[in-house]
Amino acid sequence: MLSSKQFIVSHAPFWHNGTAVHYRNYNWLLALAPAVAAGLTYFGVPALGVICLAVSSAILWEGLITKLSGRQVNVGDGNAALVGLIFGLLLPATAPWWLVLSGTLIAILIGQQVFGGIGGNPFNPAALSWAIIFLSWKTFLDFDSMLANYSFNFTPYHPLVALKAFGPQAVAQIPLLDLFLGKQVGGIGTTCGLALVTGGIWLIARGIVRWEIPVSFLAGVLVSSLIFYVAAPAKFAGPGFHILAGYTLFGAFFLAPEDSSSPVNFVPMLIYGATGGIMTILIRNIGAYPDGVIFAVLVINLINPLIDKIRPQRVN
Amino acid sequence: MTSKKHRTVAYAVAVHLLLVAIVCYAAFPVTQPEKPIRLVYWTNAGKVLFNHELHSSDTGFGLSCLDCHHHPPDDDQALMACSQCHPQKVKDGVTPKACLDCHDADEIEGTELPNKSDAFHGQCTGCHEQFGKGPPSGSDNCSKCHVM
Repeated sequence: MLSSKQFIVSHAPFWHNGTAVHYRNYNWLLALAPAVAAGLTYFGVPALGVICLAVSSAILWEGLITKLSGRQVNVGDGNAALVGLIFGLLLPATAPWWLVLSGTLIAILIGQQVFGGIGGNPFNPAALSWAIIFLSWKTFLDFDSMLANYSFNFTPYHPLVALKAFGPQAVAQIPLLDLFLGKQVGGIGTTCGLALVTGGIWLIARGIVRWEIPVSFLAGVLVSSLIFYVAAPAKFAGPGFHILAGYTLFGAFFLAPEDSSSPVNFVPMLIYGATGGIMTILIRNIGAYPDGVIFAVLVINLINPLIDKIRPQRVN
Repeated sequence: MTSKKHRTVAYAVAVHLLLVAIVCYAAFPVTQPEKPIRLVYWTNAGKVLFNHELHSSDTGFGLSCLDCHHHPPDDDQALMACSQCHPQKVKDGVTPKACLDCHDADEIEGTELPNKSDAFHGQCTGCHEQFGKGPPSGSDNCSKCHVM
């Protein structure tokens, strides 16, 4: 007999702040505005092209896919725009148009719509798409190569690639303040720590993102990188560098806390975030990739349903 | 606003952003400047990021163009891309077109022309050894330049 279940929801507790989906997504978009502004400041018109194409194509892909599949078209809730914007901000400013279109298609179709759309995706759609693009066209996400025609007034190579290839001595002269202010080679919207922290605090203050995930993610990065650093300072960089370089802050505030793919209970949120931070450092320090944030986020997305079962049990 | 109004606004925003993106991509393509800033060489042993600006500017190492772009000497004609004379793979009996622009074929017959990788390798390590600066050469020091 066919199941009559139409809608399966997660277990309690539920948390409702009295607002609608579009309110949440518009706040996410607003929180990313400082990162967009920083990206445009450092990378100029090409970055504007990538961001605009990513947002517009994500909206149009979702509209097209939901129309073709006969489902309700919900592009007005801002979710597609948000997925597109997050994906665009992860890219280098010189990303070719076909890469942006492919990435947003993957994010919307494979990342979200095949699972039923908003709320059904087990992985962060933008992170999943980035990973697929990275494994498919690696050189187009090589920031050193893609930004080679930019003349920067700061260290002109990707700090995490230099750390991985040449050791902590190669990045020892990079001031942490430079990293915090966005003076580093990287994604359009992922380099400026100041902008990301501002946006992240806005989301937390508005009640859109719970503090537990970003804070525990950063704590995981801090503690694990500190252990490596104390054990072998000549081989590993310190926690300040790891928190401010690469995708760390973007991952902590804008990738890991994605609504559908992150836990809702207090202890699971702490475990989820901390695991993401620890995985990031493990990948960076002993793994194959210079920046482990995306893969760490995908791993914690994967274990999310399992750890979210850690909750008060009913006593019979 | 109703859901329908939200949808209309979203589509309007998408179309406008798409137009902006098309203008950005079409009117402001990122091209390599006449004098390169940084160059990335993809090799069998990983990539090498060469900071052309740092090597050539007065505030950097202050090298003259002809220190590296060496043939012909003292001639601005030498300021061409290295790969024009040093191809990725040297085929026996095939002379690069750039050579024939100035030389007759019989004039350069038997001339040994290193391929691009060997030419770059010799150029980098030779200069670093000569001036005692930059990453050292030698089989133990590959990872000083090559990002594996």
